[in-house]
Amino acid sequence: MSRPLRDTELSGLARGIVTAETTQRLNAAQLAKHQILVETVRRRAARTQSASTVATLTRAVELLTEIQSQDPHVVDELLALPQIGSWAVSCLEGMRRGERPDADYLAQLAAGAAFRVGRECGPPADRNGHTFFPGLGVRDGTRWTLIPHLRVRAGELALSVNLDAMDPYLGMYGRRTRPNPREWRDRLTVAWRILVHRHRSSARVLAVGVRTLVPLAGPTSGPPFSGTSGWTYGAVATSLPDDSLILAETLIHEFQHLTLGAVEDLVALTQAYDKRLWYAPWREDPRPLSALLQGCYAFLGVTEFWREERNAGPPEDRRRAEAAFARWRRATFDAARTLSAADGLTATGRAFATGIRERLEPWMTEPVSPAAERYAARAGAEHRARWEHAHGDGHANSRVGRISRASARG
Amino acid sequence: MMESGHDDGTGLTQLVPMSLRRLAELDDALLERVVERLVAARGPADRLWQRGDVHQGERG
Repeated sequence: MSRPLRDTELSGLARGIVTAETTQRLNAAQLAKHQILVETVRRRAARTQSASTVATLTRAVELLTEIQSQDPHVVDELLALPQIGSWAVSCLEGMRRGERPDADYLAQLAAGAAFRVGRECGPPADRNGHTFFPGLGVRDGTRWTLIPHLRVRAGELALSVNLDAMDPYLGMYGRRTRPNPREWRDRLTVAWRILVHRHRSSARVLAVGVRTLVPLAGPTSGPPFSGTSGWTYGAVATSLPDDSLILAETLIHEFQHLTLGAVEDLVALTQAYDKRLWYAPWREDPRPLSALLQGCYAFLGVTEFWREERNAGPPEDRRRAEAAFARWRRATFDAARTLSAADGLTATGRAFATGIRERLEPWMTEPVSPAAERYAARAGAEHRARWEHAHGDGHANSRVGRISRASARG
Repeated sequence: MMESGHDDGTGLTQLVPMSLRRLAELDDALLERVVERLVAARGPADRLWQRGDVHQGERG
């Protein structure tokens, strides 16, 4: 059986170098993960749940299996939906607490597969007579409310995503909002042009990796709220910023998280026993080591984005690009040094910490304006002081690691 | 740089690619071992990475 990732690909990933081909391999591994989780839900339910729940799950898995054997693309596309991971993990968590798993959801997914191959199998409707098809929409009799699908193109590269404010298993990121698809399409079109023209390799990765945007409520100006989950690979949740440059940066930031999460599903990066919390220069709260590594990886992508923007972006945006580059290269480099010295990483986790640091190292000496350097130093120091004021004394002798405090001097 | 990238493998690697039909034939012990490493006691609220959260000051 072929391995999902070659060692050379893993080495590239450790330095934050992601290719479309690597992403396709991660996509395949995530599909396998979803299938494993679905099968596990079925088996665990068979041991503990009522006959009707077991029957619903069994019928759904049998239908998916049958359609997959005839038309694998249809079923694979549905099983790869980001929300299938969070549905399965919710079921497993619920069953550990003695709750009934949401078997109807899998029945609806299977019905969606049947529907796509021209079969009708009467999935369960809610008490209003509505039937929800994950990834597709809601049917009320013959009337459909479809999940908006956005397709934006620049040159030969297209980004094709669902804009999903409906699915119950995409609700963990924050409060969702009913999106205006036209507004999203317009903003995304500009962001996509920026990515394709100035961040082409990232655009290639996003084109094969992102399949769902989850619209969050958030500020209409300034930085958006955004998030991702290790259980919903392929989904980026974000509020809609008024600035497409920030939307482009957000997509890169968030997909870095998804990439590292997908790697972590293949190979552990941190030791489970390490429960210490650490200073992260982009958060107000102390973070576990795995989250610090995640943040470093995401901000490596952010730093690279602004580095490119300050060189190739429009002149009117170069000052802020330079300030952002100076700010995040320093913060990410310091955090990567903290990581490199931490003893809670596995061998692969250490390779990622080293890779991030080595990638940033040559960027640290690239000249920026004195104003950008001053801004980066001041913003970093203020954040650190604020964090120490909030957490320093309370955590110094308990859960915040000694290295994290030492890094303040670094 | 990386001598063995899969030193702490979760076991998922062994099951890529695999159809639902073949998964149904997999023995319980192997499946549970992989799922234990992938999920353990974690739930949907774990592995959540948020930026610019309403509870946060600076974006992070």
